[in-house]
Amino acid sequence: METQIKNILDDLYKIDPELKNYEEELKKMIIKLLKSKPDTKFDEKFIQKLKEEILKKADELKNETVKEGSSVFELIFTSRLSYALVGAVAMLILVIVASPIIKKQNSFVFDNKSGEITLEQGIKNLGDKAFGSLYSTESATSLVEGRGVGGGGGQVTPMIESLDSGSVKMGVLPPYDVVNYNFKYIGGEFNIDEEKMGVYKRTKSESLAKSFGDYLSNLNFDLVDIGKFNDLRLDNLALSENKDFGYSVFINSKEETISINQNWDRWPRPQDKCRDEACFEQFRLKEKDLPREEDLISIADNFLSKYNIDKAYYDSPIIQKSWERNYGVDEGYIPEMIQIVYPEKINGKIVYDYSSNVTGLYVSVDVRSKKAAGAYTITPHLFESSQYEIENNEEELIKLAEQGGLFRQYKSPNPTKNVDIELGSPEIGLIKYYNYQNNISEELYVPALIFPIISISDKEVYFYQQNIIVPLAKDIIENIVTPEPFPEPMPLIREKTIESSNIKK
Amino acid sequence: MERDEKISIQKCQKGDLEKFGILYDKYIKKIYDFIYFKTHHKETAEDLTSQTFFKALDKINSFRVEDGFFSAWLFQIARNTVIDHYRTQKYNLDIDEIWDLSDDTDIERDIDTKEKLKDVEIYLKKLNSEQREIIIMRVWQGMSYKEIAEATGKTEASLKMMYSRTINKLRQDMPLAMFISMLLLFK
Repeated sequence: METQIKNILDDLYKIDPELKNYEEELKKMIIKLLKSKPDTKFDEKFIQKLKEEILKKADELKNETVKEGSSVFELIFTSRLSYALVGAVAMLILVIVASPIIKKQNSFVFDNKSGEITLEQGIKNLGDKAFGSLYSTESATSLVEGRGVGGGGGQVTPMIESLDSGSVKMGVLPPYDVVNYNFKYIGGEFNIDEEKMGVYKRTKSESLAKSFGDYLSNLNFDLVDIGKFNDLRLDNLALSENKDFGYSVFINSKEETISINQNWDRWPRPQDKCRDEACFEQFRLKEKDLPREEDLISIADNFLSKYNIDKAYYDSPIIQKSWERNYGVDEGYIPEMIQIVYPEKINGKIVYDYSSNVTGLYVSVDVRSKKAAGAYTITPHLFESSQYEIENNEEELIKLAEQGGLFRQYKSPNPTKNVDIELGSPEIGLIKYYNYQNNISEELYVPALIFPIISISDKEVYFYQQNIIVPLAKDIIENIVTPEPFPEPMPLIREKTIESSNIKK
Repeated sequence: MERDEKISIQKCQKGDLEKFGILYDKYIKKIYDFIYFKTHHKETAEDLTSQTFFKALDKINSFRVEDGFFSAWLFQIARNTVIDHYRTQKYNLDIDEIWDLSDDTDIERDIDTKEKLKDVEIYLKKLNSEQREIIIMRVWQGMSYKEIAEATGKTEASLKMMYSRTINKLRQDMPLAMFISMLLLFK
């Protein structure tokens, strides 16, 4: 009792230090109060019996609830409740993205009263190599295909700009330069002490689709008795705001991703009414229309904030400027949209895509209206983690980087151009990688060294990568990066190229 | 409100009413004691506790998670259930709980409780219902300020202020003689 009294008194003094002047009186009074506390005769048998009765009643109420489903058609078509329904569902969706950090795995709560949906987020640690092999034949194929699209180098590079436009004729391929990219590491020494690092796999609980399905199956459609279908899942949901500058919200319940786009029907674009070039020219965006960088970031931030989209798992935003490299202000091109990316961070490591760019949450800003036009890849931060062996030999890693890293470069024996690319000191990041096995795509995040490209000797050559990525997981290095020589360009294209070059000469 | 509690409530509202058992387990002792301290009678407390939880189960969909604490909602149901009990028995239309009744009523009370309370009852009766509740929750039920604030729907700051003032009032009301006798009693 002494401790209890002391606690009560200490609490009192914190509220009103003056009371300490009456400590003896207070102490006696509290003793008296405590001694006078009646025995409440809390009866465990009664408590247990009452619980049984309550749970029985709960079961009865549950059955009644299912029978009391409302007619969706009545709701939608016979009253203004349609607005309420749409509003409620929209609210549900927007709240999904605001899900805070949750510690446990695999639970999902859909509050159909408040319209709140809670998705779990967090990282669950599994044992070593829990995802099996990180390499599959299908993944390797996908990577090789990716190189073609990515144009990592060693490939034939279009040089259309060097041609007299009049020489490009239908059916005749323009000449191409065969470029050899020579990477040179100029950064400092680095050490990797670990022998294993975490590989992450994005996980989905599937509960979102099921919970939506369960909810809808309780509703009583006039045309079809939805309740008769079993184990329903809502795969997709699309909603639109019916107002100027309204948005469309797309929910992919299966993948647990959400995207927000402009509702094109209600997004005013003055140039749409143009019927001639002069009119289009009048509305063409000018350099002065470009918002300042801080304004672009501010628009994106405000949009995320307004819709309660959590930025906790993302790094500082970066404005994508590939349009400047591809076209440039000098050529009079100002894009209608500018993308801002909030790089995703998993356990503090930035995520990169195959193209060596940071990836994560995207917000696009409509340059004309200076409004956010949407947000993409809004998804819960829910992962499993497993340790995999990594390559930590500095020399070996530099060698791989100088070969082009993930996109190992083919060196032509007969290049028409050589380009030197210098690489700076690397940082450890994660490469987003899809492992296809048995028709299932696993979204993996594999530790990798990110070597920044410091300089390119030939400014005329467009080299799209900003970094050279060297995956650290031995499984990927051994099976994907190292062994496979990159195929030469298709003979047909080469012949045509040579032929075209000859014709020009 | 704790996350687990919120999830249980939301699941109940979604139709998974078995989760009400989690809420029951968490609050049964607090609610029963709360009611007992307002009735001083075991059977009455059990009856009103049952009514409280059945009402809560029945009305769980009317509770809005974003509007406040579940404990405040539940304690309010318990409070109203006790008030209804006394008012329907027509003891007095102003009666909220047993503390408001005079000693000569024929209302049932546990004898041991009546005996135990004889020294402090007169002073606790001088407090209004709200003040008494706070003292009982803090001193008898051992609830933290945070819990009491949630259960009474007050801010923690205003609750602490009210608590310290009530304690001071009790200190002033209780005669010195009583302290001296108590001092002798407990030494």
